[in-house]
Amino acid sequence: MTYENTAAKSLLEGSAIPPRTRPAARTSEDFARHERDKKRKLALRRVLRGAIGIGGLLVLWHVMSVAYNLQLILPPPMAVLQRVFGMLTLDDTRWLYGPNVYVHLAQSFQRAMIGFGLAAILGIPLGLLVGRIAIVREFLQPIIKAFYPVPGIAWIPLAILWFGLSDTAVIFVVFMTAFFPLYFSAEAGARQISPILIDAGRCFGANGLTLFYRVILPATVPFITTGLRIGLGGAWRMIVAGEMLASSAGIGFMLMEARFQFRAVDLMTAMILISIVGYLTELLIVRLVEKRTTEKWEVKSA
Amino acid sequence: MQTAHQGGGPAPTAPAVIRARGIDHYYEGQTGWIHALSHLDLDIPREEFLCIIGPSGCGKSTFLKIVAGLVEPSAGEILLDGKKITGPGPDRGIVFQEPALFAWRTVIGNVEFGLQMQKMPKAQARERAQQVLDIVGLGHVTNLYPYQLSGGMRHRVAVARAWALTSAKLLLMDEPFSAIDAINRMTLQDYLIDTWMKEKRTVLYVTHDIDEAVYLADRILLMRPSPGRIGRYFHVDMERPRDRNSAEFAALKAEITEEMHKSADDGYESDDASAHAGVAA
Repeated sequence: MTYENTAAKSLLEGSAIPPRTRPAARTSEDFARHERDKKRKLALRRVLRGAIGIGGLLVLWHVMSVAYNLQLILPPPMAVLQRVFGMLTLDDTRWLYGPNVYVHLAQSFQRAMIGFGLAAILGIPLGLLVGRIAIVREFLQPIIKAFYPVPGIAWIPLAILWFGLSDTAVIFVVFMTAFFPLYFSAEAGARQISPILIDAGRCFGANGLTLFYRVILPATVPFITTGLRIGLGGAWRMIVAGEMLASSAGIGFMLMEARFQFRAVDLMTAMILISIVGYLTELLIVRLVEKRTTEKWEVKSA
Repeated sequence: MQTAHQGGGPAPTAPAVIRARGIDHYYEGQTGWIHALSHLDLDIPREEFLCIIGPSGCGKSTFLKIVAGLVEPSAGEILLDGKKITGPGPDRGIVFQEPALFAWRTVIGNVEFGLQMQKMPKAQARERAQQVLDIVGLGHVTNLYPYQLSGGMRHRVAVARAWALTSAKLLLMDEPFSAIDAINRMTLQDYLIDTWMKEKRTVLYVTHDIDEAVYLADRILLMRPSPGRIGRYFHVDMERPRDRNSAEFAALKAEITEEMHKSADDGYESDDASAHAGVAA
């Protein structure tokens, strides 16, 4: 019988309310254990809910595929999963895409990293300069604003014209895509720095490039990590588009080939690989930067 | 014993670290151009702890920013050891109203910052930073990041960062503890005066807290507002550490308070009046 029931009963019956029993004395260790258990429970629940979401989608997918007999254009999840496994273990007798899947992935990854890296090397310092120095801003801001509305994908035809069907063409469009989020985040970050921090830097003897490197850059890091995240996502998206149109290797090329061969299973498999690699790349690069900066300093990411 | 001299301070005997002459400053406010400082002449002798007090709008913070080189005066010039101040620099250490610490540096990293900018050898900079942190009672938290500190500790780091700067001939403090609760403020004042006793520096300290000024200063300058100008100097000759409950302390506080209210009541005075009240002969 629960306490509440007892209380209610004793009230109804007019008897004295039973004294509340004092809980056993609790030490800080008890509290710590309690907190740990609570956290573990919450984490488990979070994972469970995520799994239910994904599981639900898989079930829906399977039902759609089988019930409407769409196997040819919407192969059931098990078939795709098998294919992912087959591709990654390279046991495939009907491989139609030249070198194995790792070579394609590595190619795409390399191009994406070069394009993204160049965009970061140019975009972040430029953003900081435009954000802090009026003369640089006045010269460059109009140019950058003029180019910004042109989507990366619109550069593909021109890139092919300039660089042919080559690595360079793909890297170029990746660069054009990743540049803007990196640039704009650095610029916004540099503009919002508390003036007093700049004053402190100058009063303690930092000026010119030292001020940029020692004060402005670190103070902008929370914004820059956001730019890295968006830029990296954009780069990875654009690599697929670029390779579909302007390349004869890479995961995007594989995707396009699978369409020509009318093999939806391979198409979806390639998409899953894109998702996995993209996720891992973000984890590797952005999380690494955050761990070493904003998380260590406990400043909020923008 | 005399605790406060009337009127204009006597000419300082030691050579002045700061020599301000004919400072005028205007800035554009909400309602038009504001005359922030008018004909300001001021000397600060070496190793003096000077407090500037006055009601808000008397230009005391503006004056400090001009000395820091962060604001250029509309007219007049300030000499630091005979050299005209043209911008901020490591020959002055500064403590702002907020700690303004670098979140990406540890406590000792913050204190070392100015020394590193001066290209001081690493080991030497570390040693100096550690020494100052020990004085302000933070020797045990040198490797923490600012977010891990309490508000009062952050302010102490800010003081240590300025104090560590061996190249600084003058330390500027702009109401450094005004955002701190009264009890912690007293502790911080004790740390500050203790540090100053151990290592005499020339300090220009701006505050609106009369109690704080009487507790800390060798000399107090009361400024008058609209436009900001020299009001009156008070010399504080009490032994340190001072007893806030002593009659002497209370008497000086009362005198300054009265003078401050008087200056608030007069409103605008002619420039002549402020000139003869303030300038050292």
